Amino acid sequence: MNLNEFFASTQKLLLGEVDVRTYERTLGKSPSGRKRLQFYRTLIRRNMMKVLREMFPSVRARYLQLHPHGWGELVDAYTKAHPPPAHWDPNLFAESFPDFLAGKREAHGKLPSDLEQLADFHWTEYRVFAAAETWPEELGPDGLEHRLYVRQYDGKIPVYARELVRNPQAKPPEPTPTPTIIFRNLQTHRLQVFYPNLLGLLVLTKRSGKALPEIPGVTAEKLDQAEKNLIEHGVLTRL
Amino acid sequence: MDNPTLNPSPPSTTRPGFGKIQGVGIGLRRPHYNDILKTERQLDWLEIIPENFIGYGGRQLDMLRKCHERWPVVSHGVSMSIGGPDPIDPGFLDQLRDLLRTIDPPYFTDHMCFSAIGGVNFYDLLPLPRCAEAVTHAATRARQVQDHIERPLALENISYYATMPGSEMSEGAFLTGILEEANCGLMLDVNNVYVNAVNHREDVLQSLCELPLDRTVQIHLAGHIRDGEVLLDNHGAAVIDEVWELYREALKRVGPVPTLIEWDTDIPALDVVLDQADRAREIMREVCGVEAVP
Repeated sequence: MNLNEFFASTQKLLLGEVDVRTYERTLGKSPSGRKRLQFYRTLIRRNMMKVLREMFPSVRARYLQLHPHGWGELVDAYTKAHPPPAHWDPNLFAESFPDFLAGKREAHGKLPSDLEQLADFHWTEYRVFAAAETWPEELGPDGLEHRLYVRQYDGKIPVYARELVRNPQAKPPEPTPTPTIIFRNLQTHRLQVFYPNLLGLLVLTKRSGKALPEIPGVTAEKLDQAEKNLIEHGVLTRL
Repeated sequence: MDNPTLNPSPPSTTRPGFGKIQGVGIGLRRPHYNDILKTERQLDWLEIIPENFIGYGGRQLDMLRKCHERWPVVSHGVSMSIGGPDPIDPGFLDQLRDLLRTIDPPYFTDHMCFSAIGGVNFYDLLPLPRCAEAVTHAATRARQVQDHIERPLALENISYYATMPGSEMSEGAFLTGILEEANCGLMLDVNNVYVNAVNHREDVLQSLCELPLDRTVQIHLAGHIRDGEVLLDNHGAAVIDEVWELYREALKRVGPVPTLIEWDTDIPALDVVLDQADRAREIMREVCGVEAVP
């Protein structure tokens, strides 16, 4: 056996693609015994579960409402479809989970959309938490700072996410279009949520460098006031 | 626990200097962010996991800056996969080097293991087959890392639950081979020595003494749990008496090496972790006859 053979076979064992007997037939036995080799497969599966459980606590609670014993199977399916990348940040394993849930809903029509929105909220929260201080040299995907994301959810998804963690049986909000800003407060560095009104959204549009539509009753003074409000809440940086 | 056939060797004079890292530290962990800057208890230095800070802004960066103003900080990596088959990410090495330049520790530590294969991460510290090919492979990569990060590298003896197929030598001989070939330090995890000895029915003190102790630059102490038939090194409990005793034995052999309390799972209040640090400091004082930090 050389190291290349060892790594090729061990990857299959750890991903659950071969059983320990097959592994032993290829590489030979472990002096520690078959159960100990199998224990590594158990540990790896636990690690995948842990990353997703800690990243998406409300998604897990909501999914268990729908499929009381299905979370493990869901994580296994996700791991198979999106193996954890060999990146130093383990949280990146979670990156495709919102889209994976959306794909499952579209393919089977059995999952509610709040599930993928909860997942998107947690993933966005993480991105906001981790965002580097690159502004104004480099902008985030919304044309704003990396510590600031704008989402359109069906209801106050951040509130629902917190409620599910406290009460796993909590019911989803009525589906109402709800613009949501998820941001890291400039002063405190804490993660916060802000629900902007129309003027607030227009300010964000302006900040992202896009042209503003003509809207009756929206004046420059009102936009200035809305911008001041967002700055006071720690959402926007004073220019 | 004493084994009369194993004589303590005197502390080495060849390992990298500890400089400002002296005494007992703890890991900087998020649940302690609100309390750590307020504490007035003795805390000699901090250890960070660089993967939790590289590329991060906001509170992570803010806490690192504030803590570094108050305490010396060392860095203990978890993702280098030094024994793995995939090329070591040069982007990660660049960012790690930059972080190390900022906090300026006398050494950098990671684990003697692999954690990824073929671009897939397993989020675990996995053992290699202990063979000559693996020694050369790991030592070559360790030298590459050491050159890149511009400071000495020390590798930790991991907890392993199975000796992998193809193993030809003891853990001590394997680590000695790698560290000598790469000229690296040893990050001596005393809890791992204990967990491995129990799990593999080996003599604890003999296992300790077979490691290349003269290369020790830092010690880790942690708790573990029982998981079925194995002891699981989960850093989720207080250090047990048997490990404290083994720590005494280690100090007799390596001298007053900087020591860290690791607590990463079910993290308790800061004071509980600092209590463990106090106990380690007291043992260091008793065994080595020195006040760890003047």
